Amino acid sequence: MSQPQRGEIFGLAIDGASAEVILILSENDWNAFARDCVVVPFYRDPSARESLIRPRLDDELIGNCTRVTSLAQADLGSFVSHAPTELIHAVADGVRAYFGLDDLLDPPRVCPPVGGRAGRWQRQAIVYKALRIAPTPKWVAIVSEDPSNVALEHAAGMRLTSNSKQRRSRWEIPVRGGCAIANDLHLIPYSGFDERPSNPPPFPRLNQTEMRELAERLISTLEL
Amino acid sequence: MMHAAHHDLKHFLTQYLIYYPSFMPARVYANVTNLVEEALAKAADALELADDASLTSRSTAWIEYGYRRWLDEQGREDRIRAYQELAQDEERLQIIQRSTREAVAAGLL
Repeated sequence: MSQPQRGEIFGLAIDGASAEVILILSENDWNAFARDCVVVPFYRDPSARESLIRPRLDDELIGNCTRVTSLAQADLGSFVSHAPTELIHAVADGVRAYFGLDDLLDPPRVCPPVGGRAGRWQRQAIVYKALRIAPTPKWVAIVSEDPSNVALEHAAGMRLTSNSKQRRSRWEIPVRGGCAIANDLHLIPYSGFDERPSNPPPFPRLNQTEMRELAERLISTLEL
Repeated sequence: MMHAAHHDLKHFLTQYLIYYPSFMPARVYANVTNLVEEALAKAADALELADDASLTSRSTAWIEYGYRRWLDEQGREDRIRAYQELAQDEERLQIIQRSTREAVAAGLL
């Protein structure tokens, strides 16, 4: 298969997937040399209302930018089409909003409290243990914005690794305790987090500087 | 006339690079040489229509152009090297594949 390109639409080669197609958002250098890409899924739902985070492809298919995720290129199905430029921009805007990148780059003086939900929900910049993304649980930092996290039953996590491995260049973002892996984005249901981990996270909550660096890397590698 | 202007400009640029290390770090000077030469050639063409007063601003603009281009190229090469390292990380790819299947099983994807 030739290298997938940003803005191309593919099917999914995974049994049981509810998404009809996915749109590739990651930059072409990433797509050409890494073996994964970052995608936004589109679902068949003609009655769903279009919005900033739900751009519409056509009368049938609508995207969901809150389900942005990394995908191995081996899991891409057949090529479908090239997305119109306006749609690519709309998807990028939706993902930018879902990650709250503008607030991360230029934090407001006062953050309004996010409430309206009883019980546990995952909060942006905090490190959680994801139970099922690997044979052994992995630590992730939540990158999705809190107004979305409070309303949804899933969050976007960026995987963290310890400093024990050899330093691996630009795709790692140094944080206290280790590194965040750029574009290593996981779509995790709340049931997939360990609410009471037996050991404390080896990474503190990501601070404003770390989140800003992470935001800048996402903007660069996803062309947001 | 053009040859003389080229010589003068080269002399100016050499002085510029020596006396303004903060503008272009010494460690990158050698790598920039080719682009400086390219910039010189373009600047020399531009100088056909230039008077002495504009020499400094024009040559500065060209060398900044060369430096920016070199930085862009250097950045892209670094990035590609990093992505190639990434591609060799089998464990990372397996985690992404497993995570995708978990998201499918949860009805998210």
